[in-house]
Amino acid sequence: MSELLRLSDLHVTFPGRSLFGRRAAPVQAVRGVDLTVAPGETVSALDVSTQNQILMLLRVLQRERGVALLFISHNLLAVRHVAARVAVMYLGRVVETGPTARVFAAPAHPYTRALLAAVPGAARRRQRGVRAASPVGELPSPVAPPSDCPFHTRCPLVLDRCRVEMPAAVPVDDGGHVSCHLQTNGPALGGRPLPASLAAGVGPATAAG
Amino acid sequence: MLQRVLIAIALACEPKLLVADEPTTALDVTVQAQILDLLHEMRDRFGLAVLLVTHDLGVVAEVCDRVVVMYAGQVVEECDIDTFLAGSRHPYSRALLAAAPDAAVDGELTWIPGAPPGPDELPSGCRFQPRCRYARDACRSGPIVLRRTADGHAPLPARPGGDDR
Repeated sequence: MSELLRLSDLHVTFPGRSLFGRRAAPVQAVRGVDLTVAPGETVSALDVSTQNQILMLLRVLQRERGVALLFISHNLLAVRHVAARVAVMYLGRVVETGPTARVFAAPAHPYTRALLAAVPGAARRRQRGVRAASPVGELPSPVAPPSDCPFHTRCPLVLDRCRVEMPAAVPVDDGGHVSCHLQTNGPALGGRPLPASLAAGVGPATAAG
Repeated sequence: MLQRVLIAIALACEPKLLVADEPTTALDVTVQAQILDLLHEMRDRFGLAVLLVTHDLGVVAEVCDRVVVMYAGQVVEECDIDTFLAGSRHPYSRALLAAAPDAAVDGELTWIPGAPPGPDELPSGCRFQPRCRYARDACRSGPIVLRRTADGHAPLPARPGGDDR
């Protein structure tokens, strides 16, 4: 373990007990295996400096050791740093997958789009009150999720069809898949599905109505 | 939903101050945004002061008017949010802002060497001094006191017994 810690220059930074637990867990999990699952929400409730130390350790594991890493997080900025591919889940279902760069630059699913628009920061402070098309309402119960599109109860772009039929995963330009009726049956702008047009900054911001 | 119920319970006795300790950690950001909007609405409707405790600088930037930065249980800086984001003067605050992930979307991650002390190994003087690149002898001996800066509106950390860096 000390060798792995040396790789990331963290061996001198070890005294805090709670940190020991957090850092030691991914390292120990990785011994002798090719895949590790980072402990749930590995970097939540840590100061950003410490978060970055841990993210760096994970990246070292990926690059120096060729370990595949399954990183589960609500922290989109951390995901962007750690992941090569992203799967966005809603109520236990994968709604979109794809290369990290494509998902962040051109989200194809309304939920992914809402997530990226909701990342807190100074920009959102300035936009307070003029935000459009953000999801409203409560998360349905994960114990009894909707049998149709799981996001339809909160989707600003919902179609009638979304309430009766689960969308199938369809390929997305530039990689990945998305499960959304708007991609196959929905309104289009200039021939492109509405979510793609919105992601590209085309079309009305309040398409929901 | 649970968070909203908790907030409702907390507000039932019409307090003047709501202490929200990491109210949105491990929530999806769309729900987080709803909770933050709710706190804002409560503040405006009931004249409620909200003390938000968080590690998320994005949340701080979005909702807070004033910021108090703590390190290892010590207050090291207090100022309004715009001053904090534009020109924080404490070495720990500056390192935090530099390490904020959205500041380095395509760049390398940065961090402060070392780790925070455990509760039973707190250093003397300023608790950040073992990791501070500007630390000097005075930082290791005296207690730190907050000192009002020359521009008046932003109380800032004093270097114990010292002038500006």
